[in-house]
Amino acid sequence: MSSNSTQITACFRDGQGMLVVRDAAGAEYRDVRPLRMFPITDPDGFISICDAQGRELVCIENIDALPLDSRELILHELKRCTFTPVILQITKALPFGEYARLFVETDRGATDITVDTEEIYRLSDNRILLKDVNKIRYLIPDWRKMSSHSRRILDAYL
Amino acid sequence: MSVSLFENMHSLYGDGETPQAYFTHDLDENLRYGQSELILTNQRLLHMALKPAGPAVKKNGDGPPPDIASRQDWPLTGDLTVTACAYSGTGAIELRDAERLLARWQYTIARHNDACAFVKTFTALSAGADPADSGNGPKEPAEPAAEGGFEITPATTMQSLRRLISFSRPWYHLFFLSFLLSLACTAAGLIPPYITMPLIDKILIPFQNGTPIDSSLVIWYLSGLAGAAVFAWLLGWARTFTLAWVSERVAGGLRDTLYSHMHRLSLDYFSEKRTGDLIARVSTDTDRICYFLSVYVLDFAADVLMILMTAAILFYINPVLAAVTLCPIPFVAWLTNYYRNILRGGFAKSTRAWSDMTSVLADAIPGVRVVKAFAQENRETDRFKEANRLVVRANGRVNKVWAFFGPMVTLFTDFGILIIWGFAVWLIFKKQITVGVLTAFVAYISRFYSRMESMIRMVSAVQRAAASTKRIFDVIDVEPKIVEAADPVMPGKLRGKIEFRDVAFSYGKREVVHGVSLAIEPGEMIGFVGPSGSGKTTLVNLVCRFYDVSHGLVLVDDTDIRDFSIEGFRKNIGIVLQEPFLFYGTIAENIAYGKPGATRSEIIEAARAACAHDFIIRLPDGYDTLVGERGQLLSGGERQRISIARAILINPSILILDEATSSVDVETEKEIQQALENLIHGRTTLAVAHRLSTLKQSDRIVVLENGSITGVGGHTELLSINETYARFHRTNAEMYLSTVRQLKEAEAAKEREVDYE
Repeated sequence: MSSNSTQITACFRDGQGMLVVRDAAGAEYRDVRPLRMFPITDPDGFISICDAQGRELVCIENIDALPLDSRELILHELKRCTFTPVILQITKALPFGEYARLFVETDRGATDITVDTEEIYRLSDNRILLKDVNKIRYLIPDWRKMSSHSRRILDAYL
Repeated sequence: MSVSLFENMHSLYGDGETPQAYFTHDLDENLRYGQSELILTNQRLLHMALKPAGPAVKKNGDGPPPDIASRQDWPLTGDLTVTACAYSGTGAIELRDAERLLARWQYTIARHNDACAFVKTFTALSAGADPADSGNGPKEPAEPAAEGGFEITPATTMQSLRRLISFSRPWYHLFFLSFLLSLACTAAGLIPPYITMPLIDKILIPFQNGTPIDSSLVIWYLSGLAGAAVFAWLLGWARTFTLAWVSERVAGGLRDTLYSHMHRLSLDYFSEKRTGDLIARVSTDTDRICYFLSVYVLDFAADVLMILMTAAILFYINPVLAAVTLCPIPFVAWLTNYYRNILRGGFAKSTRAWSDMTSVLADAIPGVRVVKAFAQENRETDRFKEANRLVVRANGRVNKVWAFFGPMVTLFTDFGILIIWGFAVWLIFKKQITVGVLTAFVAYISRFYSRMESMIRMVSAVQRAAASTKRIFDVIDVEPKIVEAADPVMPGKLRGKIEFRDVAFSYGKREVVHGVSLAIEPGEMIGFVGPSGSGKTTLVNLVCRFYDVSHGLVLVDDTDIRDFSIEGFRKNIGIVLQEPFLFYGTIAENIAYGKPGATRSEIIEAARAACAHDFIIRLPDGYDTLVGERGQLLSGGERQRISIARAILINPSILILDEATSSVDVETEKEIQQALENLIHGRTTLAVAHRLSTLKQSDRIVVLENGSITGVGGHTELLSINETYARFHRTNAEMYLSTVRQLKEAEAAKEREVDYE
């Protein structure tokens, strides 16, 4: 448990593109992966740095304490490893059987997704999580903020 | 299969350059959606990022050339390597030369299979092999990897129903019979209005005009009416009965097929599925199909027939009036359908709200001890109130539409009849039809409209039945992963020699066990220790053949266990699990679970050996005590001893103890220790354990770490050479010591109390 309390001082990519972190004692860990501990309620606080086997090496409580470039690298890496597009609008829905093909606008551009209609979860009153057939997750942070057209489509599945 | 935008664009390629493989990746470097193309030719690797053109990019090579935002290429030199790795939701192809990462292209996980195929082709090509020879030609990427992308084939309503029909084949003749009965019954139902026509025109109206009644003709018509009614009743009865009988058998057959198929599936299927969902498929879905076949199909067939026959009769009586009468029907049908759709959405919402509410209950009631202990009654009540509020709201909406819908249909009907009245009265004035014809038309058309609503209900009923059918066939279509050998060897009574030969096993993408080789002599006891997730349970599951190895061999008595008959082989295996599972039934039945024909004395003997006899006979009903759900409550140790007796009774050659003592306290462990010793005696035993005390009789201990064996040997031997084992032993010893200390303290405290008294 002692290793978890060590502070990391830097994070960079080596020539091979592997992520490396260095702790205060100067020890370096290669091929690490950052993980969010509270991906929904506090995405940028409490980040765990794990080795390739998934064992925690370091826990970052406050990412702001890191140098700017390290911080950006970690945040970028997090974004890459946890791919959860945010759905802004739903333009069209084609239901078939238990599934529905939804044409959506996300924060990452427009796409169409196939979801199991049983895998649309109302997390709290206004937040909605969808899982598509490839288990990719999509988040609607507040369905009330979508257009009335999107809401009407979504409403059929809630 | 990747289809490339550039397949036909020869201008891209130089002399002698031919494309070998394509991969379209759908995310850019910032993980935004955007198509880009990766092309492998026999000379270089080419990457082209496309200008965002929205999701609807034209997908064939004949269209205008796509807008290329940027292009890069790398000549194929020997030191380039390409790898594909998957993260949660995304994957990336990475290109490296000897020292650096050159590029990384990202895609959503659905394309992982294509990416792996691309990498495979690349690796084959750069290794010098001609990919066309190795079967990985450009148009045919390598066979898809075992997992990754999920292809979904939208089974249409019709496809589902067709399978249902093929399932009903054995009862075709009965379906045909009920169809004939339906036909006859509908025809019988259409006779009365036809008879009323001459009754009015030839008797009643002439009578009003002063002609005397021909009473024999009246009796003739009236008995015709009565006869038709009785006839329709008899036929209706026969029809309903036949169809109900046959649909019950179709549904029953489906249930049997489904459930027996479920039992042929391997363990991993069950670990992926929710129990409640599987139960619902066997019970609710099959029942829904039965209801659909017996009620809806019947009604629908009858309705269609009735409408066709009515239309024919109406046209026969008077074509002009018939045309006017039938005119508003399509419009009314459309309107009714429109409102039904609204209603259906509402019903679906209310069902979901209802199930949300039930799951709040299912959550809180079994957890009532936790709720009370943490004093969260108010929070649970609030949670229920909220769910309940949603139910009330959803039902309120449905009721609003529903209240409107019923009278609406009546209104349509009334208008439809009004049209007939209006037009018919005009025709009567013009002396083109008689009053009798008008009465017949009104009588026919009222039936017509009254069936309209139920006919339209058929649309949603078909969809629901198709969904249920699909859910059922989804299970039936799953191939069992563990298959019986084509010519299975009947193992008889095995000696119990086990050998792992370079065994590897992957669960999904994760390799759980690799490179395990170990020979176990008959009668030997092997203890498996290691951190959780190190593959201990996987190894014993492989011996049970709950899973098959992905590489290597598991041999029992020098025969590959895959060659044995599954049932015969498992009869040689006894298993005691961490959570002893008792089925609903008596204790005797539970002990004899693996050998249903066991005699009472055999059962008692097994219970004695398992040290369960004494507590069993103290129960009021002895061996006939009901256990399992809603049965007599037994302690953990007692339940475990019953499950040990169950294993002893089948007298297995191979015994698996999977953390058999992990969930019981030290005291209980002592209780079952003797039972275990009796069980182990003379059998090949594989014991997975967290507690050293369970393993003290082991002949050898195997230390597993990260899926491979890091140490084998006796206790003392391992202690000196294996760091993991030494640590394991230390932790155990510390635990033991602290238990002893606590016990001593407790005793001392007791003594002090005695002193005070």
